[in-house]
Amino acid sequence: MNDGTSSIGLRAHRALLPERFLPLEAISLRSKAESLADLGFAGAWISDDVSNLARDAARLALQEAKLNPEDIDALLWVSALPEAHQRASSVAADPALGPDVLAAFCYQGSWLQETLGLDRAFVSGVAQQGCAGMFTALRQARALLVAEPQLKHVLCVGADRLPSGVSREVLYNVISDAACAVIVSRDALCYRWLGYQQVSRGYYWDVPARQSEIIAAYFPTASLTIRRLLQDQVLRPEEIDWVIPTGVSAASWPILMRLCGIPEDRLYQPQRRFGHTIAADSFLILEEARAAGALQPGQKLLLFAYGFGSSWAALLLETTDFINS
Amino acid sequence: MSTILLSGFTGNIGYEVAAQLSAHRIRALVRHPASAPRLPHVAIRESLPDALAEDTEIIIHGAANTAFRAPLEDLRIDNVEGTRRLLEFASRCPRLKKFIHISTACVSGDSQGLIPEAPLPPPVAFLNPYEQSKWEAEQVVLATDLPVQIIRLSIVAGSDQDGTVRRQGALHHTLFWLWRGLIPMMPGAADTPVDIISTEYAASFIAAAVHSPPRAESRIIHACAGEGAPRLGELLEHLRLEFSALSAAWRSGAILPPALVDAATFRLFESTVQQSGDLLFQRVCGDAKSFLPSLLHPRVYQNHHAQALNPQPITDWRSLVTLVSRHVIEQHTRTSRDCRLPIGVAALG
Repeated sequence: MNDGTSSIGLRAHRALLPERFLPLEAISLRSKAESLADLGFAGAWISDDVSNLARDAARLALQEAKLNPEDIDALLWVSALPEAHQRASSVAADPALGPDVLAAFCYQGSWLQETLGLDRAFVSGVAQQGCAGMFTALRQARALLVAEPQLKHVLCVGADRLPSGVSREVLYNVISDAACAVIVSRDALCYRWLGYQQVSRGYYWDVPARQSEIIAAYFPTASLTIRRLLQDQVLRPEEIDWVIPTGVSAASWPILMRLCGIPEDRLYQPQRRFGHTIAADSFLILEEARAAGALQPGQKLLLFAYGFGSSWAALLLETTDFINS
Repeated sequence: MSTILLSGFTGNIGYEVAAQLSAHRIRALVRHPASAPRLPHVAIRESLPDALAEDTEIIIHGAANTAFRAPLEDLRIDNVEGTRRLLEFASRCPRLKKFIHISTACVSGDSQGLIPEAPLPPPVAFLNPYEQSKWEAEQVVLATDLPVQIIRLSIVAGSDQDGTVRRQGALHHTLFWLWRGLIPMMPGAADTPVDIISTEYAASFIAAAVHSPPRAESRIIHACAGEGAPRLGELLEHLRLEFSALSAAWRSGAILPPALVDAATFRLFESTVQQSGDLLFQRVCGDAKSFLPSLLHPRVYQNHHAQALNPQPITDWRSLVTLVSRHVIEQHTRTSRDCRLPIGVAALG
């Protein structure tokens, strides 16, 4: 039994979807709505202000962790889209002078620190990881705690919102806006960190030019990443208790399970359908699994995400006694 | 010297067959004479007048419709009725010594294990309509009283001299999509035999059949690699090394060889491709569908009769695969304007 105090792991997490939901027929897509419905998508959650959603998710995560804002040592802001790292200045640009380059330095992470009163935290951002950004942030948060013993709590906050008017379909996945906050700590852990594996392949950097190749590379590289993680942890595939999926094509997960040799009944089947949210998927589903009572102490959870760039990331966690608190 | 009537001269192995029979007088029956290659000892014929029956001594029936997934009725017209018509012609040839029917090892359908050089009962299922039409054609051939010999070919990959492929088929399309990194998984297991032979090797059996009298014990022979066929795992590893020499993406591991999966997993994958509506992937799956399903039915083709007829070492499959894959990549690079090739293709010159 692990009481969660002797290691590093995830202490709390909260993910939020916006309030507005639009069915497939009402959003801009590339494929036919019925084709995407067959792939398990119902529609998309749309946000006008994902920053506030991120703020709310962070506040809830702090509450759940029973931490005050000043307890946080570091804040990592995560976004896949470059523009999601910035927010608009409160000062309108002077049209006579043209765009003000200073406005490009208005960072979401800094705004969030100020808004939440994370006064002791240092702030940085995680970018260029696509939908694997939150996984990379968690890895860096853990690395910080390992490298700097004086640090205790790192808050990772991810939020993305697709620009208005763009297609919400990306490689046969329907994208929802969402936000997510995860606190990586040394104590009172709900999930102990067991291992992590990431494979990055710059060959696929040109996403529009290599769409088909990316789709084809997904399965073999995902399988390779997960197998490497299991090998590092000296685990057999059947020792995984739950695979927490993302919201990408539901049909793809049984294939990945088979490729990795993990029994299919270990795939957690989410009840809520929200599509794919870039950063928040895994934690929306993890929350649901926990709320549904599916998670018990001592279980090994495999989380997996793919991000354009391209990066394949697999995270192995073990639930602690705090999971039921 | 014999007078030989050859159908299928413009097909995958017809030219090589004719080339290996240069000591004979050959009449090549073709549909489009203008596009037929030329050889000094080969006379091109568009039709089959009765007058030709008079001095025809050997008939090699190599013509076939190889559109694997065409409707069965269409394939029957070409492959079954076409064979029947040529047999009728053969029955009017007073000097006929032998009717050599070129068939395919795939007439074994979904059978597994050792496939004998003998008439085959209908399998539980054929993997595509082409196989069925060729099996039916064999029954027509075997039902005659003529001196017939059936030569079943396995997959004729291309020339073992320069990799040339006269007519690219399912194997070659699959090779190209593999090179592009567009085949994420294949059905089968690492030890599944993949029976491939060279054009020259295939043609040498037909030439040997021309030079040998009809014998009951070698009425059916397998021009195949048999036990010497590469296994799928070693074939993919060889291709990985070969592609790595040509492509930085393969070398770095950005492109990985396909995962080998069971039938159910492959069906799931095909189903997601169909659902996605991705046109390129549907094309890849369509091309691969003619080749990949056979990998789920591992078998070894017996070739004792063939070796007795034409004792020669089987094709070095590694060299053959290297040459053919390079040829296929070069051909596609020249002709496919819509294809985005991986880094490294320039190294092919």
